[in-house]
Amino acid sequence: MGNLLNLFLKYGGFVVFLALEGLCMYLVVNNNQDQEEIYVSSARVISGSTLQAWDATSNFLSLGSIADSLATENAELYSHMENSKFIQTILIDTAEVIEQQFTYLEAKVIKNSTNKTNNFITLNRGLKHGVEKKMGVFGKHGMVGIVRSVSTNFCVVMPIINVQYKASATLKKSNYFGSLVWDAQNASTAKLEAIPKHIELAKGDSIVTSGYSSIFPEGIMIGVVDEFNLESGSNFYTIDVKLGTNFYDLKYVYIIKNLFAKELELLEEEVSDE
Amino acid sequence: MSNNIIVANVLRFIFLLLLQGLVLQRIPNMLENFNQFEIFIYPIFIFLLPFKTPHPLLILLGFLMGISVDFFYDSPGVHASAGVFVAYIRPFVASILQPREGYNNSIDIPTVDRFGISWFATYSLILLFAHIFFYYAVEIFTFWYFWKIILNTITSFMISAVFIMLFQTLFNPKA
Repeated sequence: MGNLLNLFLKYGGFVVFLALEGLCMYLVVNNNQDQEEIYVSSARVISGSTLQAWDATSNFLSLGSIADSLATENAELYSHMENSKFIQTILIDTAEVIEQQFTYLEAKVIKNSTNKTNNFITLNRGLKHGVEKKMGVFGKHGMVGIVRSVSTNFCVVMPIINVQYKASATLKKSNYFGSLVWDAQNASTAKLEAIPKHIELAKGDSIVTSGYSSIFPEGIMIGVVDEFNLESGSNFYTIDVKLGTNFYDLKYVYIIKNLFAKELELLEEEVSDE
Repeated sequence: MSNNIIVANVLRFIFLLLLQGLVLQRIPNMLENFNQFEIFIYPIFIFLLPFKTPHPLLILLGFLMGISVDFFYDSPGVHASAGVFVAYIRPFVASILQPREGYNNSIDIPTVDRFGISWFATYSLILLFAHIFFYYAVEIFTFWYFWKIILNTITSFMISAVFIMLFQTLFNPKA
């Protein structure tokens, strides 16, 4: 045993070196978005330029850029959906004018946290791409949050899973709305408050955006009713909401631009000034 | 004697970590136009460990130093990998620079006090360059940006060398 230890102390350096260097590389690739991206993209460059045998590999590695282009396409398609249009029906001569109200910009999540009470998400879109403060953000499974600050190339989103976040949300079935808050328990549930007790509720009811703010079009999925109870003496339900968006695995999201935002803001300012 | 060395190294570890993580880390960020560099002071901890440190332990200490710095830099594994690399090559660099009478492995410590300033400068600057080069290779992570790695390495090396030598002059460590 003593001999073995001596042998290790004398010649174990290389083994320790390899082991720790391996551990470091694992940490680097897993924890640094930059390196991970560079790793993937340079692997793509290298594999693309080598022999045919590597074709399968390079195809697999370039799935990333295919996904990018699909996300762009999705953003385009979202803007053709009915709830993105502002429909003006002029009854007098029955002409219908349809104007675009919402457009969508695809974005990639480059930094994300779920383990804090004030979680934030960083996206690779900024002023350069026309992102502004207070724009809504959603993913393929539901609402994500609201743009909080913007720099030239990036923006930071305050997601639902941030204790500072507050938004109104509607029960799709009954059209009653309440306020959605996060209780900092875990990143897959939130609470819906202020739903009066005479409403009929069922597990699995959809909760969607209300469309009362200028941030989100109405009807974007937020989550489903997971559990609800009525405390004695209270007139309102406490509803546990299972969030649609999986914040643990968030890769692509869409930023919502409301083309009427300025107009609405001015109008509302006017009212509050009075 | 041996206890003194351990205490001296523990204190040096803590001091260098705080100096690196709290002070030197911020300097490049404060400069707006010229900030493509980092100031490295903590590698001197690895340089100054006694010759009798077993090689696996040396590497482990290099890893510990690096990973601790990584906590401040929010870059898990990048500084650590450079620390591991330098700790690994240290015996080879030392053996190249071996003086005519050789090392006394049981008591010698690689200091100016023992081997003189020119020996120490050569020894530590070779290791420092290796450290910084390895750091940027991992940080930039592709040889696609070879020139950026070289440029950043040279800039950081020149600035860090001044700090390493300054540290040596100010504290002149003997243990």
